[in-house]
Amino acid sequence: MKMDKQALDVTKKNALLLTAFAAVCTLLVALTHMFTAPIIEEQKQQDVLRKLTQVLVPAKFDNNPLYNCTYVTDFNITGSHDPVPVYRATLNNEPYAIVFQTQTQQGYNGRIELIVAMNKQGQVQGVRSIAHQETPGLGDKIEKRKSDWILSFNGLQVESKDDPKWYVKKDGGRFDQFTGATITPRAIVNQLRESVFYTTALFDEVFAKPNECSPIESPKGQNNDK
Amino acid sequence: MTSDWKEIIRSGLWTNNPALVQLLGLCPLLAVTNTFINALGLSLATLAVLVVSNLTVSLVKQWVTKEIRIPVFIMIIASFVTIIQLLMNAYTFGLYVSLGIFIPLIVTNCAIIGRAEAFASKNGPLESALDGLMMGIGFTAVLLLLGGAREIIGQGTLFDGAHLLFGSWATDMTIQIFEFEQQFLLAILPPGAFIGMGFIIALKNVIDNRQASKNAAKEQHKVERARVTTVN
Repeated sequence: MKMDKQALDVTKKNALLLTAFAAVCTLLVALTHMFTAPIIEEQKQQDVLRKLTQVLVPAKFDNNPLYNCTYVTDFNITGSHDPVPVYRATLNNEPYAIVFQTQTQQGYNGRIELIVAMNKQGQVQGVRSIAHQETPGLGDKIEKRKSDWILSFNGLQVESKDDPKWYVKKDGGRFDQFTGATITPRAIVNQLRESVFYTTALFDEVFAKPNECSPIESPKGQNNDK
Repeated sequence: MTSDWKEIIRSGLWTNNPALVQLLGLCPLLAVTNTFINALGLSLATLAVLVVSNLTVSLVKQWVTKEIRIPVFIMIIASFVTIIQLLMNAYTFGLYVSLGIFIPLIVTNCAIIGRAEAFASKNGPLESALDGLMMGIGFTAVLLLLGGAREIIGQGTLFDGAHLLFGSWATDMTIQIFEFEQQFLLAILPPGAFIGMGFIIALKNVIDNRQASKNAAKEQHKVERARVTTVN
């Protein structure tokens, strides 16, 4: 009986100690979180804005597309079943281009995420790869800093759902594949053909929708980058 | 006292180097050393966690009973890693994205819990902080060596992506050492890390062996002289 009481006391003391340590540690993390949360939010916004300005032609818009968006749920366009923000760039309040993120699972190493801008005529203004795990030295030439390949879409339109020109050369189209890596460019070209084709038809509709990213309330559902 | 401190420094940097001798924390070491800057970012984060966790563990060790010391140590380490992760996310966003999962994985770096358990829970706060710093520097040195070598061999550059860590002024810091059409994949991919690591450990052993045989030769020399004097 006495032994039991002693053991119980030790356990009690340890439990209290652990609780105290947990409380202090949690407090420290919570304080850091409170302090850094606005800065992190700001950084994420800046990051999205950097990506937006990369794919848009700077002289052709004068708004902040970060604060002008609408949510689209359309697998054909975004490659995702979730609502995805579509940003709208305007010049003198006239529609210039829409910018959207899309993704494909057909990469050599899984998912490739892209950001695409296109204007009212359906001409691609710019494309960039945002996230991928393609082989370094081969498939990663889709990055702008590694190669200019991703610029080869600029100014082009998708004329039909199966536009024969909108394939890699190996499949009879106009886009180069890389030496030693066909799967990566093929995945991107095929995804863009779909996305751009469906977005062209949707352009006016997207611009008619109300703004869901006004600066007062912080935009919900940030891009799901880590 | 001073000889103790010297021993701590020697142990962290060389004789008990966490990466080369204890072989701890190899997962991040091998994964992020594809460029110099990635290696620098992760090793600085690890170093900071090591110093702070060693210091904290040493400060609270008198209150922590034997039964609960491991969960307490892990809690302390995990908290500091989370704090560093938040700070990196806020202030070095590009590097945070580029290191990805390996920042939270610092928690699982056995070198940290190892030092907390083996050193900080038995020594004073100052010695523990110094031990953390030296272990951290030893770890950093190996990461930088491996990261630099793999970046140069693999893509012919050094300091690529420096702006991720230091801000936009460092964009031009990248040095193009040589250029080639096709990158040397073996160096960039994980097998290159294993091979490079093997070479570094081999190099350390060569140096150690040479030192040992030099010392042995010295000793022999002494013995000889001793014998001469006794004969006389």
